[in-house]
Amino acid sequence: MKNYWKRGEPMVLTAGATLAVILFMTLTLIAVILGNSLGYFWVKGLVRFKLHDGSYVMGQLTAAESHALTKARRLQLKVGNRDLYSQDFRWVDESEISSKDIPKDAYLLERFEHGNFFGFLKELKKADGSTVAADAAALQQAHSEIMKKQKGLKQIKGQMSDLNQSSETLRLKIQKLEYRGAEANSAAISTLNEERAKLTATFDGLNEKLNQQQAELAKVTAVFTDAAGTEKELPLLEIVRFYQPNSMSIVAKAGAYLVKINELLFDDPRESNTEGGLFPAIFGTVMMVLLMSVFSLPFGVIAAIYLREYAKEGKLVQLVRIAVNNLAGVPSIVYGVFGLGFFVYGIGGALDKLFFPERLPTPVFGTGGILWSSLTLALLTVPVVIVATEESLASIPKGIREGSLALGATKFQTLTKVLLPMATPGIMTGLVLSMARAVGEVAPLMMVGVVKLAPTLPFDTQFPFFHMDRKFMHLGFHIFDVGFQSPNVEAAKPMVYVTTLLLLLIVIAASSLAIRFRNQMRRRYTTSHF
Amino acid sequence: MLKKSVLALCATFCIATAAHAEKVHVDAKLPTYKATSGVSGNLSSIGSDTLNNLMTYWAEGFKKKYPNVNIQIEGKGSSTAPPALIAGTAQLGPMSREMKGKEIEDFEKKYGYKPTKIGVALDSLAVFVHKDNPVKSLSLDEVDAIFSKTRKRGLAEITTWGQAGVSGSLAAKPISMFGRNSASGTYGYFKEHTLKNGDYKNTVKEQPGSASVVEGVAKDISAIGYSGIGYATSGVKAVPLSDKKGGTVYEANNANVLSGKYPLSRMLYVYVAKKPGQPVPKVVEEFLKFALSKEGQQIVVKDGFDPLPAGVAANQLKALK
Amino acid sequence: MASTIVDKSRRNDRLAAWLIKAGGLFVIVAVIGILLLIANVALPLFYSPSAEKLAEVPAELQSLVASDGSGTHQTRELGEKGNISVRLLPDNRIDVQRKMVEKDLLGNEKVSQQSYQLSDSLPGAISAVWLGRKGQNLYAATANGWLVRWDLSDEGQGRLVETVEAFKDHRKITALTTLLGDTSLAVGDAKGQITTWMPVSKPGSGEDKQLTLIHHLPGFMQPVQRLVASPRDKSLAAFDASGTIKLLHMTSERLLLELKAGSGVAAAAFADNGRKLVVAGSDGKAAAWKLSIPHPEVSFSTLFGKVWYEGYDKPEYVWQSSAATDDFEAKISLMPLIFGTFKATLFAMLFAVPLALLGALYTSQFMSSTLKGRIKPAVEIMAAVPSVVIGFLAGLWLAPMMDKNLLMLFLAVVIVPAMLLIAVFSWKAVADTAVGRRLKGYEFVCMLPVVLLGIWLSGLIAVPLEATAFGADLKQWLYSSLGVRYDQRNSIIIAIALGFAVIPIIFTIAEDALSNVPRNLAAASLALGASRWQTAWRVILPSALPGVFSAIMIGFGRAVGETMIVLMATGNTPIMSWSLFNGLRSLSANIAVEIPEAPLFGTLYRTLFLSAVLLFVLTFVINTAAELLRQRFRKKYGRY
Repeated sequence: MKNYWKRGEPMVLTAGATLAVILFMTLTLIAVILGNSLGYFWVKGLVRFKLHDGSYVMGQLTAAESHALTKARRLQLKVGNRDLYSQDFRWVDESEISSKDIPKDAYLLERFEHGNFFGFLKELKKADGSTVAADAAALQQAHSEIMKKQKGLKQIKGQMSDLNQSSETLRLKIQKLEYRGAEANSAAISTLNEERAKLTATFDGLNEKLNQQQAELAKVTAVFTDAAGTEKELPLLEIVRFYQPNSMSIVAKAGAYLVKINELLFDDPRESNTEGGLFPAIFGTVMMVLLMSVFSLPFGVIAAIYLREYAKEGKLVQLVRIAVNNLAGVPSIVYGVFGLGFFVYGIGGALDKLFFPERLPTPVFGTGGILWSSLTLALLTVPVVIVATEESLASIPKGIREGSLALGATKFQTLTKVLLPMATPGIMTGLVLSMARAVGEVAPLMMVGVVKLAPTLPFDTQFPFFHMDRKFMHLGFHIFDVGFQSPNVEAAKPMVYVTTLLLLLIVIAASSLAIRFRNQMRRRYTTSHF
Repeated sequence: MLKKSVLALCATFCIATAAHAEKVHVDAKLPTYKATSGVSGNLSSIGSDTLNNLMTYWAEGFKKKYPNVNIQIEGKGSSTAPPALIAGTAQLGPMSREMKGKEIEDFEKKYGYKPTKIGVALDSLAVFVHKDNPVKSLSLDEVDAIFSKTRKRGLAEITTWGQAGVSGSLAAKPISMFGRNSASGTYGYFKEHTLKNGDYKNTVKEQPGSASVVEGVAKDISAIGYSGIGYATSGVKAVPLSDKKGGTVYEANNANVLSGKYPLSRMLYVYVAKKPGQPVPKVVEEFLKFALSKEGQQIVVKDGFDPLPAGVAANQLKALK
Repeated sequence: MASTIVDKSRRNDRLAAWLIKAGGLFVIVAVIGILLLIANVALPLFYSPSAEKLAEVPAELQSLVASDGSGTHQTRELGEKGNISVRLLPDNRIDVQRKMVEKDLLGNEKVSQQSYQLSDSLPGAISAVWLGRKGQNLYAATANGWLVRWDLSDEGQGRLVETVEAFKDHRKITALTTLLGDTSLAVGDAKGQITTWMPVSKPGSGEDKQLTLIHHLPGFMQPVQRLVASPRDKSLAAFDASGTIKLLHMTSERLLLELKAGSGVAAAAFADNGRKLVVAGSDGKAAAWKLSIPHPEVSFSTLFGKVWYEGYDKPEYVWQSSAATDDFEAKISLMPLIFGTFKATLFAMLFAVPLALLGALYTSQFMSSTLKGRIKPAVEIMAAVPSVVIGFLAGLWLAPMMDKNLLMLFLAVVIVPAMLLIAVFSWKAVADTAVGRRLKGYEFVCMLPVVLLGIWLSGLIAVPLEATAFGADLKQWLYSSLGVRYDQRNSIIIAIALGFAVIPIIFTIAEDALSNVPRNLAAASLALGASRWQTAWRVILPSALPGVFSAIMIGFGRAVGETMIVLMATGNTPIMSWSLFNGLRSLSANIAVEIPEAPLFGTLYRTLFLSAVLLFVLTFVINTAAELLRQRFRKKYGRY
C-alpha cells in the first residue's frame, strides 16, 4: 500500500480539499448575506419586559451577548420610537428583568419619519376633534381613508411639478437672452417674465390649496402610548402602515413581507436612505449600465473585428492585443481618475463653455453625471467585449468565410451577413459580462457622478427625456454609503444587507446569462474534439 | 475665534433652555417655514459627510414643499465643498469646519468675492468608547496623548487603557484608535482642537465614514474613536470630556454645547457663493430658510445634532440679504 | 443595375475596412492616451519654478518692504490679543514690551501694558534676534555660534529655555527667521551656510526638547545677510551681500530659484501671499519678482525618501496630507502607500494562489465532468461578486467576527489540515475498493464535510483553550507576552477578503489553461503507467505553466488595483510593518479616499494622479508580462 502515497492520491484529496475550502467560503458569503437580509421584511413580534425598577421596555429582540468584561448576559432590543428615546436600540441586562410578556394588542407602526413606533393605541381623533373608539379596525378604516385622500392630492402635486418645470425652462431662456445682451432682447425678456409670473401665480394658488388640504388631513390623528405610558399623538398621515405583530397569522405576515418587497423595489428611499425603497438606485444602476453598453458594444465589436478579420497578424496586432489586455487590467480607480480629469473637467468643461456659457460658473456637464459615469465604465469594460467578440469570431471555422467569399460576397457582406450573426452569442456573452462588471464597480463612480441622494431620475417625461447631466444613485454606492456613513447605523444595517442581496442577485443573473450564452455557442460551433 | 463668539452668543440666548438638559427642544421662537412660488431648478450640495444626512433629511423635507426641485446630495467630506463651490459643481457647500484661508483665497481668486458662511446647526464631536468600557471621563490632553504622535498638548504617550486611568482587566489592553479620513471636517476639527495641529499616529484607523467609526468601536472593547454625536448607537458611549487634565468634565449634551462648556462643540456650516449686493438664487435662499426654520431645526434634532436658538438662526439668515 | 449594387457594396466594403481599422487604432491610442493624460496632470509636480522680474515696483509693494520684521527692533501684531515687541539693547540685553487686550463676552476691552528685560547671561554678543510670528518664542544668535531661545508666552517674565552651541567652530550667526508655523528656525551664518533647527526630544529624556539641526539647505560662498520666510509654505528667501537671492524650501531641501539683485539687500518681503518677492537694495533701488513655484514641497526625496518633519523625533516616511489649518505642512511620502499596496497584494496572493491553483488543478484533472459543468460556472459567477459587497462584509462582518474568534481561526489553520491528514489516512482504506472507485471525481464532496468538521472542532476547542492557556483573552496575551498588537482591521482580513476576490480570477484562467492542454498528452502519460496525480503534476501542469503563470499575474494585477475592499476593510493606516495583525493603506484606496477633497491642480491632486500613474505602470508591466507569456503559450500549443 505504499503505492497509495507514491501514486499521489493524498495530493488529489488535498487538491479536492482546497476546492472544498473555496466553496465553503462562497457558501459562507451567501449564507451571511441571506441570513442578514431575508429576515428584514418579516414582521417580528414585540416583547415587553418589566424591569426591577418598575419601568417597562418593549421592542423586538435583536441580539444577545455577554458583557465584554463582567460576562453578564444581556439582550438587545429594538425599541423604536426614535423621537422619544433618541436611539432605536437598547441593551437590557438579563439581571434587570423581572418579568416578560407578549402583549397581544401592541402596535408596530411604520412611519414616514423617525422610524418605527412600538406602543398601544389609546384613541383616535377625527378632524373635528371628536374621539372615536380605538381598535384596529377603526384605525385601519381611518388610515386607508386618509391615504386615499392623500393620493387624491397627487394630481395637484403633478400639476405643480409641471408648472415648476415650465417656469424653470423659462428662467433658463431668460438667462440665455440676458447673457446674449439684456438690452437687445429686452422685449423678449419681458414677455417671458410675464409668462413666468403667470405660471407663478397659478403655482401659488395650487400650493395654497395643497397646503390647506394637507393641513386638514393632518388633523386626523391617533394617540398611542409607549411601553412606559408616554403618550404620542400621531397624524395618520405620517403612518405608512401598521401591524399588531403579536396577533398576526403567518399568512398575514407573509402578505406583509410581499408588500414590503414591493416597496423596496418600487418606492423612493426615506429617512436619508435607511428606509423605504431603492427604486432610484435600481433605476440609476440599470440606466447607467445600459448607457454604458451603448458606448462599449460598438467600439468593442469594431475593435475585435479589426483584430480578427482586418488586421494582418504582425507586430501591430500583437501590440493592440497587449494594449487591450492591459486596459482590462488597469485598476478601476485609475479609470475614475482619468474620467474625472478627462471627461468631467476636460470635455465637460469645454462643453459648458461652448453651449452653456450663460450658466457659468454653475456647470451643466462640467460635473459628474450619468453620461460621464457610463463613458468611464465603458472604457473600463470595452476590453471584455473585445476579447469575447474576438474569441467568438475566431471560433467560426475558416471554411465558412471562404465559402461566403467564394460566392462573391464582399468582405463586409461576409462580415455582416455571415460572421456577425454567427458570433452573436459570443458578443452577447461579452456584453453581459461587461454589464456584470459595471454593475458592481463603485470606486470610479464615486469620482464621476454617483451621489447619495438624487431622487430626480435621469429619465423623465420632460423634454429631452434623457438628462445626461444629472447625477444618479447606484446600488453599490448605496451599500458603501448606508453601511459606512449613515447615523443610526444599527437600524440601517439590515437595509445594507438587503441592498447587497439585490445587487448580488442582479450580478449573478447577468453572469448566469452570459455563461448560458457561451455554452450555447460552444455547443453550436465546436465541431470536433481531440 | 469667530466660533467662540458664536457660541458665546448662543450662551446668552439659551440660559433658559440649559436648565432641562435631557430632552432637546427646538426654540419656539424660530419662524415656521412658508412655501413661496418660483422655487425651481437644480440644487446640488457637495461637502461634509457629517452634514450629509442632515442635508438629505432637509432635501427630503424641501422636496415635499417643492416637488419639482431637483436636489443632488454628495457628502464625502468637508474638504470637498470648497473645490466644488469653486468649480461651481455645487451651490451649497456644507462644511463641518470653517474654510481655511487657502480655500477662501482660492474661492476669491475665482469669483472676486469671499464665500458666505451660514451656520445651520450645532454639533458636538464625541469621543466614543465601547459601551462596556468603564472609563468615566477623559481630558483632551489624554485624548491627544492617545491619538497623536507629535503630542502637542505635552502629555506622555498613552498606549494602554491603564495609562488613561482605567483599572481592572481592561487596564493592560492596548488602545485601538478609530478616526475619520482626511477629507472629513471632523478629522480636521479634531486635529486642530484636540491635537493642536499635531499629527495623528499612523495606527489611527481612518474610516471612510462616521458610521463605520462607531461600528468599529462598538465591536472592540479596547477601542476609542471620534465622530459627531449624532452617530451614537447603543453599542458605544460618549465619554464626558474636559479640556485640561484634572479640569471639570462636561457631557456632550445640548446644554453644554450651547453654553460652550463642552470642549469639542462646533458650528456646522453651509457655504454659498453670494455676490455682494446680489441675492443668491431663489432655490438656494429658500433651502437655507427652510433649514433655519422651525421645521428645519426639528430635523436637526432628529439627526442627533443641536438646534440653533432663534436669535442665532435669524442672524445667520441676515448674511443672505 | 447589377453593377451599381456591386459598386455600392465595394464602396461599403472599403468604407467599412477604413472605419474598422480606425476603430482598432483608436483603441491603442486610447490606452496610450489614458496614460499620457494622467501623467500630464502629475507632471507639473516636477516642473522647475520660474520667476519674472517686474519692470517697475508698485508703491504698495515698496511700503511692504519696510515692515520685513527683522532688525534689532521687532514688533508682532497678535490680532485681537494686542501686540508684542522686542528691542536689542546695546548691553546685550533684550527689552520686551507687551500690550495685552482681553475681551470678555460682552465685548468690553481691558488693555494692559507690560515691560521687562531679558538679562540672562549669554555665551557671546548677540548678532541676530528673531521674535516668532506668534509672539511666543524669541530667538537670539551670538557672534560665536550659539543659539538662545526664550519662551515669552507666560505673563510677567520671559523664560530662558535653552542655550545651544550651534556650531563647534564658533562661527558668527548672521541671520535668523522662523518659517511658517513658527516651529522651525532658519539660521544663516558667516560661512554662507543655511540650516534649519527645531525643538526635538532628546533621546531618552522624553519631554525635554532641544533645538536640533535638521536640514542643511543650499548656501552661499559669502556670509548670509538676511533670511525671509514665505507666508505660504515652508520656504524662505536667503540673501547674501553680493545680491544673490536664493529661494529655498526647507523640507524638500530644494533650491527653488536663484535670482540676482543689483546690490546687497537692505530689506525684503514676500507679497501677495508668497507669490511676489520685493527687495530693497542697499543701493536704494527696489526690485520685485513674480514667483511661480507651484509645488515647492515636492521633490523625489519627499515623495520617496524619509523626511524629518516638524514635531517629529526622527526622519520618517509619512503620509498625512491635510488638516483644517493653513500652516499645516502636507506630508506626502508615497512609500507607506506603495508598501501597503504590496503588503496587501502579497498576503492576498499567499492566501489565494495555493487555493485557486490546487482547486483549478482538481477541477480540470480529477473532477467528474458532470460536476465540473456545475462547479466551474459557480466559481465564474463568484468572480462577478462586486468588490463593494466583499469589502462591506469584510469590514462590518468578518472583522468583528474575527476579533471575537481569533483563536478559532488560528486553530482552524492547524486543525483543518490535521483533519485532512486523518481523512487521507482513512481514504487509504477505501481507495481501492469499489466504493473508492465510485467516488473518483467526487473526492472534494467528501472533503467538504471534513473541512466543515475541522472548523466546527476549532470553534469547539477555542473557548476552553483560550480560557486556560491564554488567560481568556488571546489578543491580550499576544500583546503582553509577545508584544504583538492585534488590530481589528488587519492584514489577515485583507488577505482573506482580497484573496476571495482574486481566487475566482486565478481559478478560471488557470483552469482554462490546464483544461486546454491536449488530452493526448495525458492519455500518453496514463498509458505509460503514471498515476493520475503524477500525470497532472508532472505532465499537465508543466505544459500549462505559462497559462497558469499568467493567471497568477492577472490575479496579482487585480489585487494591486483593488480599491473598495481595501478601503472598507482596512483601517487605511499608513504603517510600514509586515505584521499580519495591523492594517495598511494602499495606493488605490488612498486615491479614492483623498481625491474628492483635493483642490483641482493642487499638490495633493497631482500627487494622487502620480500614484495613479504608478498603479497604471505597475499593472501595465504585470499585464504585459502575463500577455506575452500567454501568447507564447498559444504558439506552443496552438489555439485552445
